[in-house]
Amino acid sequence: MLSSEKKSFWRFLAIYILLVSLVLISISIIYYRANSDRVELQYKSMMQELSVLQIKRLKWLHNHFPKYNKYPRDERFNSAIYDLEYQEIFSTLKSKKIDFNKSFYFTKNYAIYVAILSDYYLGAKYLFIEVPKNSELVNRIIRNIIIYGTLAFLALLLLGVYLAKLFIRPMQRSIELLDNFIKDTTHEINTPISIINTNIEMLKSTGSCKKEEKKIKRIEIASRTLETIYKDLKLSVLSNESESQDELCNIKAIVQERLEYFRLHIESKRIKLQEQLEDVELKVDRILIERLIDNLISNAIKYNRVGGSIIIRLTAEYLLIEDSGIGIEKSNLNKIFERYRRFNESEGGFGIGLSIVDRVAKRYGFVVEVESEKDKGTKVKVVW
Amino acid sequence: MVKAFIIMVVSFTLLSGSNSCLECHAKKKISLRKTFMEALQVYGGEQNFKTALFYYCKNPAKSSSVMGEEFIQKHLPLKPVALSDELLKKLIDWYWNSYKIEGNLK
Ligand code: HEC
Repeated sequence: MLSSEKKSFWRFLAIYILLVSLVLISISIIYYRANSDRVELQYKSMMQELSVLQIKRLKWLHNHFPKYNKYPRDERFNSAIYDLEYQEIFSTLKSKKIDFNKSFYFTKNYAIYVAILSDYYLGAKYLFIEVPKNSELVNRIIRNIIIYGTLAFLALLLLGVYLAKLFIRPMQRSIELLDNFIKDTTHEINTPISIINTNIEMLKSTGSCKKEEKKIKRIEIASRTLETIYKDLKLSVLSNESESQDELCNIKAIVQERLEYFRLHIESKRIKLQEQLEDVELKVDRILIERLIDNLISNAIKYNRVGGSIIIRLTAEYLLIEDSGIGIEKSNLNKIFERYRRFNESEGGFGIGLSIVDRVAKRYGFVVEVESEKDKGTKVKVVW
Repeated sequence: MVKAFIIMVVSFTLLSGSNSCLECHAKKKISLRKTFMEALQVYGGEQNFKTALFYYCKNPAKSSSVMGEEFIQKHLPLKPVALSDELLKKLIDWYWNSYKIEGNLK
């Protein structure tokens, strides 16, 4: 996935998850409300019955006081009676704070029901009934919400990923189309390039056109540019179809050869070349390492200014290519390895060079470090 | 302080044999406990009880009695209690304190 696709993918998913969470939370709240209302109702009717019972007992006691003076108790609940001036007459409540304004409420551990007597038996107007709260009921509601909530969330998440993939499919399709187009074109380019190259060689070797040497050189440069593009494209698009073969390669020789290959380019831009090459051998695929080196050198040339400089250093640890070119903006540094990504519209190319570098490097576990300063130049270091 | 004072006054009046509530109710064979419970059932709280009873003693009426119809019928005609306001208040305080429920339940 390219980063633009990735971005769209995650953006879509984020919005989706946000909406899904909102919906799920709303549903949970409604569910919770409905159920706690139900629970409350259950408590209320149960406690109302208890209060009727307790009032009957109070009435009896009222009529037999003071012969009997034992306040009626019940193991199912605690209770208290208060007179109309809110004075306590008797209480077995565990809760310290009581509320005369509500007919039913929950404290931390208890449910409390307040009945109002019309006959003030024993002088009581308010009868409080207190039962321990059965937290199991509420816990079950919460447990249900958590279990079914996460299940629904996961299911919807899967759906979301699927939808997000559908969402970016058109983008992927266009990339595929581009790949296919390039694949087709690449096949057709090969033969013409070979013809041009052989003919240039023939012209040079016969020496028949000494006067037109400069023009032939230009044709040769153009043809080599074409050839590198062809090789990159071939590697980039057809890579999956060809097996690579690793062998011991003399990197120094390859670098020199590639420099020689680009000599005309370098000269035409009057670039000062500084080489410090040590003998290095690596076990790699020759074609791949050539593409890697080629792309780094050709970038250093392409994005250099006329009369600029290139430093190439090859050691047993790394290959460093430093140019005095236009540089890359910091914000773009992390995207340079992406396919079809170009930062400079004035220069040609398909934007696949660095993606090849990246791929080759990843394949062999090389680390590519890029340092760049806008308008100053770029330093690329490939650590073996 | 006030409570102690009331109790003192009440015990004094009791000792001096001049608790008119007890005397008259005993004469008429009306249980003060019974009237208390009936009054409490209607009047509820302490202040309400005291003011309402004070007013009733001064203006007894069939329509405002807490007692049942049959009971009242036996005691007609109703006469106001002939006591000074001060003494009546003290006696009613005594009545509440000696018959109240609060503190007497187990
Ligand atoms: C002169 C006699 C007399 C005295 C003194 C008296 N009572 Fe009574 N009381 C009655 C009679 C008769 C009734 C029943 C008729 C009625 O209920 O009004 C009665 C009724 C009551 C009732 C029921 C009231 C109701 O609403 O029907 C209360 C309570 C009561 N007495 C309290 C007291 C108290 C307290 C005192 C002392 C301050 C007191 N009485 C002094 C004669 C007396």
